[in-house]
Amino acid sequence: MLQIEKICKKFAGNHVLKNISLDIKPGTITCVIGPSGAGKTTLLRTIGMLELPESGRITIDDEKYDFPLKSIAGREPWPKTTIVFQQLFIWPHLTIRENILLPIGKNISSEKYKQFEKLVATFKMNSFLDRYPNQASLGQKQRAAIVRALMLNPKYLLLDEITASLDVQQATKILSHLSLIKEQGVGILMVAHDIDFALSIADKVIFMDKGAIIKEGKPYEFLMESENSKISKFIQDAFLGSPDIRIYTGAEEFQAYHLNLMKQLPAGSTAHIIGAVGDTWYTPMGEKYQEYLESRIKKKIVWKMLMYEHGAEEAQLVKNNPQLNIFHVISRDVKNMANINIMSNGIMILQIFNPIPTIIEIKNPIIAKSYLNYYEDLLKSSKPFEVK
Amino acid sequence: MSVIEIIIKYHEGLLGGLLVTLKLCAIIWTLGIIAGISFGYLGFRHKLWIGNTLRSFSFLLSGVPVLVLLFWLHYPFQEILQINIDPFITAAAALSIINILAVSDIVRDALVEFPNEYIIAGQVCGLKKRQIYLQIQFPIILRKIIPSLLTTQVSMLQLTLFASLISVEEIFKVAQRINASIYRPIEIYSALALFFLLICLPLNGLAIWLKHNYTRNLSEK
Repeated sequence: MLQIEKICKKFAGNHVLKNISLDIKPGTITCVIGPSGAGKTTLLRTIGMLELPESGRITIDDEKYDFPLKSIAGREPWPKTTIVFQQLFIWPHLTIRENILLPIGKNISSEKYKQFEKLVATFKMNSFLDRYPNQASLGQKQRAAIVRALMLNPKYLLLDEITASLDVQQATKILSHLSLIKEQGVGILMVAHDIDFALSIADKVIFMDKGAIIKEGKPYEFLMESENSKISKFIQDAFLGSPDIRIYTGAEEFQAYHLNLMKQLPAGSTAHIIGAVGDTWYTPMGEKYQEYLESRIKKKIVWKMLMYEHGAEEAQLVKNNPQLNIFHVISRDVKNMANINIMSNGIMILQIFNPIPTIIEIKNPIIAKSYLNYYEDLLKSSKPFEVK
Repeated sequence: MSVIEIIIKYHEGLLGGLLVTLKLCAIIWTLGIIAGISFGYLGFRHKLWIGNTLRSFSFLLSGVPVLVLLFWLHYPFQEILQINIDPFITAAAALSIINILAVSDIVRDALVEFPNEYIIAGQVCGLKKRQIYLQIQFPIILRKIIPSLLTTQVSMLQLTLFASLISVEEIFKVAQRINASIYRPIEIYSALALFFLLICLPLNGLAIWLKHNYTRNLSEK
């Protein structure tokens, strides 16, 4: 495990890292998010020991570094811990192939070459391996930088905003590869620019501001954040202006939205629902509820619902169609800000019923997946709902 | 008398002049490259003393025309010191100083502008200092400086013509002498131009080719 304990770092008298402690476990992805100037990159460079902190301790498996240290000469953590930078730093005088193979040395074993070929195939690099960096695209260079690091079999991989200059498609590809790397037991720390991507692949998210860790937790905990205004504002700003977010208000829009959604959902699909305390979803649906219910039964759309309390309607639903209504009861200690629905088509909706029925629709499969993970976590601590 | 006839008739004198020019060049190029690279490196490593001193010299010299420097070293300098130096040595010294400062500027700038991130990338990949120097720093810097070095050396070759003005018997001086006796300026100076073209153009061409094919864009830093 890579362990950071009470790390402090100053630049020109300013504290850029204040008493930072965190763990990076093998086979996990930790994402560091936060506003610019929060100290994210400095933290990454410090963990990678390109910057030495003034105090604290870094432990990489059995090797302990107690600071202050004048130098780490002879005890360099590289390439056991290696870094892929935002600006890539692919050596310009070498081809992409040479860039990847240079750190391996001249005598490349057949085993190592097989690893190279496998990585080249995984990252689909065959077509540009013999190009010079100035002839390759940003995405191609990004993959080269990651493969160069992976060829060194690092135990801990530190990534500095590696998707910052990539388009959504390229970033998605890179991030899906990160999941593969994680499965091989590599501990990954990623300073993330794209919050939605970070939230989708991370096992743990760290929010930093002004050199300190403000919050550490599971990705969905950040999406649900309401206590810390800095975090909630940061998350909101990150999604602001997104064409994937729409708001519907008023009873008429509320009813029309749900009826239309029922038409759009594929037959036999599942809606995961996480209720909020005091939910009365049926009330704003009014007389349209019966039409909605008939349509749902006809299309065999399953409701998997986590709820705090239950009334006659829930009992009736389970009694009449137990296959379509799989309900669980969760503790009142879980405080949800709104009713959350995660649809199988990647749409997620947040609902508020009082005083004005409101729907916030988010068309983002990555966020939907993150909320689905939240559902799965809550499910573990829930009890099945049984009709007496 | 055609150009060929002039060359054949005065081949001994022309060859002698050519030899002096090439000798002068060899000294200027060798000193310039060896001392220039050394000073450039030292100026980079010891910015305060050596770097700033070299920069000041270079700045000072940029304000003095080559011809003035040459004449100053040939006349007042020797007069002040009450010494008499062979004009060939004076020309070699003056042009070598110019070349050394030019080369050291090229080398120092290349070292200063070298993106440190390429070194860091080598470090985090587990490369040793020696490997980083030999396999990353040196080749990148070499590719960056070679085209500029070549064009500078071509300029130095052209500057050797000034040596004729302090009575160095180089090729231009010989050409002037031949012209004075037979007065065929068109043929003689055309032959001289051809000679310089034959030497300078391939070198300049090589510099352009190297720049396009071997130097790399470091802007991705």
